[in-house]
Amino acid sequence: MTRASIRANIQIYMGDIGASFWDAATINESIQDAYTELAGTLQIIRKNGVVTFPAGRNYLSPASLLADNTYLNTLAIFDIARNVFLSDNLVWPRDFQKFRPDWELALLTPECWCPVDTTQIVIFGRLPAAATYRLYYAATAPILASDATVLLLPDSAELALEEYIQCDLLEQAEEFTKAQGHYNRYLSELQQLQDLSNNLASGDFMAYIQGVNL
Amino acid sequence: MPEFTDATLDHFEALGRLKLSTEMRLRVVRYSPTVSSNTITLPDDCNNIIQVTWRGHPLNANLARNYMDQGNPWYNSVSVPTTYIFNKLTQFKTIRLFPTPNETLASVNVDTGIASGCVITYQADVNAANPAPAWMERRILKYFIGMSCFGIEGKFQNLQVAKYMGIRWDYMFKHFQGEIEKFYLEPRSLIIKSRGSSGLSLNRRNLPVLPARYGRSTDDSSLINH
Repeated sequence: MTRASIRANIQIYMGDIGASFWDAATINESIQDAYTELAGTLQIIRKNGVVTFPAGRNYLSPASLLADNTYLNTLAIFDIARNVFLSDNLVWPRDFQKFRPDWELALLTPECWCPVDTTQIVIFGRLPAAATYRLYYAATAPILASDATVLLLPDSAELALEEYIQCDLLEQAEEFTKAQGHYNRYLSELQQLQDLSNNLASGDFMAYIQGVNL
Repeated sequence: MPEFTDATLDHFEALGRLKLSTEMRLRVVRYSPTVSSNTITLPDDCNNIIQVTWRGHPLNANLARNYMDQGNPWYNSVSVPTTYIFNKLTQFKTIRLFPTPNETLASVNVDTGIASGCVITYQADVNAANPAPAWMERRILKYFIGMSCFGIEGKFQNLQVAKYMGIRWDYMFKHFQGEIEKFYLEPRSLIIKSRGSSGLSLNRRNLPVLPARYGRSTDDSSLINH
């Protein structure tokens, strides 16, 4: 699935071959928008990297630490020195205050973390000295620089992608009734992709519960 | 196609971002004021206070009516602050500390100076310099701007389009509100704790197992992890 193949499909769907009501740049823009939103909503592009957490700080900006502007959100943090993942089942700051009210002053090896907002995370326990961790994170869709670039989406996402693009183009042409149909189908496809992701994950999770990996 | 001035589009873009800011926790800012009295003026972009600490110790939010209860013995007491109240009598973005601080605190570095200052953590507005995540902002702002522009009086007014955009805006707003909640504000619950003698235990060290369930796959897993 490349930008060129999607654009060719869209031109067929829209009856736009040779007519060029929508030029290639306009369609490319819609493809990028669809790609960005799908990758963001499905969190389907995952990366990891080793980062150094500075000493004496609770609040961290992973995008800065990773030097990666495609950072979307943090999934897990692995303590390399201790060979453990940091616990991630807490809600800041409500839960952190259960450990101690002045949790921001606690100088100890971090045991848990949680997200703060779209760019920051917070760890319980300020590090006495800088230490390295492996950060697993979701990333946003990269900018498509050429027609030949393969999209980092499963083939099953193609229909959702195409419905989004058709909706976007028809809205620009003020064909709102037609756009509405594509929009509804896009949402339906999106829901199915999310369900698929959840179902696949449930299988893994049941294995844990049954003790396979415990 | 209708034409709207850049100023109009920019105005509605800013308004759309403000609307996002008030309903979603997109940006959290930590701020350390100089405290020389019992009153602290909050920055303009403050939407909602999340936490106020005095030398690292959190202050509780007090009832607003207590601000008016000047007959209360503690109203003018001077000591280490333990609570704060929004001053709704004179200015919205002002808080008052109770008891009145018995010392003056200078502004500190919010990362390294927590123990010696007053630090306010608050939900802040997103703006052009600090936008909402790019994967959702462009789409949703297009609908808000479209809804607003087509609704204003003039030869380009088109109430049908405005209505269409408005419905989309409402839906996408709710949709992304849920996504933001899942992605950024909920605990991940990806990591399984090692089990104790009777199954999963919260008191044991975490097993170094790779989180097999990334991202969207974590729905409802907290039911099992807790």
